[in-house]
Amino acid sequence: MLVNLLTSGAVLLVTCIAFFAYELYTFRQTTLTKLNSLGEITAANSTAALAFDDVAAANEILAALHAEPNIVAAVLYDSLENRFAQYPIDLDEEQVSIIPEKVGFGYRRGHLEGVQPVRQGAKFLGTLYLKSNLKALEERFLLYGMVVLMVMAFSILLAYILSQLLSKSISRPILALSKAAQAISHRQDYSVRAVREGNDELGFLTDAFNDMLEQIQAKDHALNRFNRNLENKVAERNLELEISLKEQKEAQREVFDKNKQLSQALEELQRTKDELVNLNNDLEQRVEERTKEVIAKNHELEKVNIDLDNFIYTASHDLKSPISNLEGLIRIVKEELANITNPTHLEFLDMMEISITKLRNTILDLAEITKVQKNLEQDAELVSFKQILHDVKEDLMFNNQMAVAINQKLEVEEIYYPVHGLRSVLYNLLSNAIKYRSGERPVQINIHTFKENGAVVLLVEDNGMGIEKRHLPKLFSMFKRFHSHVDGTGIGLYIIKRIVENQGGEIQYISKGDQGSIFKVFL
Amino acid sequence: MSILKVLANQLILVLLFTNNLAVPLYAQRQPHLNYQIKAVYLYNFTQFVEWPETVLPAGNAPLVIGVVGEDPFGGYLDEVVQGEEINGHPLSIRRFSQTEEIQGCHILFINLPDAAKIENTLDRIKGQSVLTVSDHHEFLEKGGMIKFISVANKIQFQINPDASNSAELKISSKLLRLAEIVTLSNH
Repeated sequence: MLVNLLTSGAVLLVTCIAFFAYELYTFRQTTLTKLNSLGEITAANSTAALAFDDVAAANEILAALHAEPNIVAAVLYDSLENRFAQYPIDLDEEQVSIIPEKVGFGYRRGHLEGVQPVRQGAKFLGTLYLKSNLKALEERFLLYGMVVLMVMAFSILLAYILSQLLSKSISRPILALSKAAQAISHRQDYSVRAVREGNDELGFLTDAFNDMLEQIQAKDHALNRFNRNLENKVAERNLELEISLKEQKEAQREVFDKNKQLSQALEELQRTKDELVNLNNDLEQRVEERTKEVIAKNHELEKVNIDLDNFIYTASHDLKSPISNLEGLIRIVKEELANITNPTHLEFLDMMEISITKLRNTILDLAEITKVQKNLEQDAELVSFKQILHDVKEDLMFNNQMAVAINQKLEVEEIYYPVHGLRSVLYNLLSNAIKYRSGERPVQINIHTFKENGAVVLLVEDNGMGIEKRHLPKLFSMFKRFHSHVDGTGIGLYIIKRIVENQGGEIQYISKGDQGSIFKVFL
Repeated sequence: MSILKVLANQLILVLLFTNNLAVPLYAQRQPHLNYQIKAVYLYNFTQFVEWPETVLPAGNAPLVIGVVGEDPFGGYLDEVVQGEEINGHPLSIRRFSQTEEIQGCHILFINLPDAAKIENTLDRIKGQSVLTVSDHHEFLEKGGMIKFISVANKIQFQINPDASNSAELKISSKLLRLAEIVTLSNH
């Protein structure tokens, strides 16, 4: 309240002072202008008096200035600056001893004074001097001051009264409303209602406020109910959670136990593993030892083998001559006793010959085998199939005097192979083809060399009697013969297999039933 | 009027220093002080009177002061108006010995002794917008406009505004104010 009054008072004061200052300023100007006008008028009126030297008339004219009570002096000077007329009549020298030089009026020396030339047309007749006091100004000043004070006092009083009145109808209800709002938010008590005063906008506001409170209260109740509901639910849930927590704890314990078991098992496994490792090591050690033994044994065996080979070689070699001797002797005996002995004894001798021959053949084969064994260590060299076949054919022709058709197709002409080995292979294959020929048709042998999957293949095909199925498993074994009607020791295929396999290849048999055989050799 | 004062002083000085022989001569040359003042007044009248356009057109047409009858001013009137202008109108003096000669003046100083002659002159220049001035005692009754009078040793004048109005002359109130207004019905 006080603040309001002070502010409005201050504002008012400022406004009043502003107006006051403005008024004074304009009043000063106006006064000056008036004096100026007065001077001009008086001067104009005095021209005739000056022109006609009528002092009385001039005085009369100046005397009219008494209508302006603030004029304290007026003097009319003639063109020679001599005093002609004055107002008031009893004006003393002192007052107007100093005549201002410049024409015009102004505020000087505490008075308003000035000088006005008197002219008639272009003719300069004299000068009029006017002097006025500032009483009017002072009176104005006082008047305004009074007015200002009065207005201010009145306004403040009015403001005070109005504020009192208004506070009753505006401020108080608003304060009451705000107090109610504060109380509500303070105590959270939504049952509080504001008291309605009057039927105006504030009353309306109060009503609206109360409505709002109703709503808030209702919402608050609903909220509380909901809250309680929620709390119950939460309590239930809490219970459930506790139970499940207990169960969880138990499960955890189980897991923990299981864990323990597992770790124990793990430990055992670890132990077992260690044992196994140890065992492994042992085994390895043993294996090493064994291997060493085996290698040693191997060496021994090889030595034995070599010894055996040598033995066989030596034996066969050495046995050859006694056997030849035996053959010879038996022949001689047969011839000698051809006529003497009875046929049965001759039969015995024949049988002895046969046995001897068999023995010889066996020995030869053994020698052959040993040769082969020996030749297995032979180095590979570049050999020509054509050359080998030529040599083999010569050997065979020498042994067999019959028509043999050999058809050769040598796609691969040369091979890096041990000479003797290859020769043996070819000799044996061809020999077999001829040996086990079919009686129904002439011998036809097809020899084909080609490359298959990067390996050199030798294909020998004949139209002999073929080999029965049941014999196939033991086809390449040593000393296995399936046809007894022909000479042979049964080691040919064995030899071929050994030679070929020693060079990293293999031999396969493809049957043509009883129409012949096909031997496929991967060299 | 400072000139008058000056003149007065001059005159006094001259009178003091030149006596006897000088006086008659002087009296011949210099008009009476009164007439000097009246001359000046005549000049002044030109400032306070308005003539109609027809008589004094705007421009630099001369404003003529005429004197009919004996010239009492001597050469003084000429001195007074020498080089002076009123509203651009140069001033000049004309002298007429006979009424019949009067023409082309704006102010006429009638110095005729006979009232009848004065009346005659006034009739003659009626309607010509001439400011008539005289110091004859019956001037205004005869229809004159301004009459010089002497009051307490001061030269003053009487004016008949009706006369000047009927001649379409406007006399400034400032002048009228200084004068004694006389209307014929009063007299």
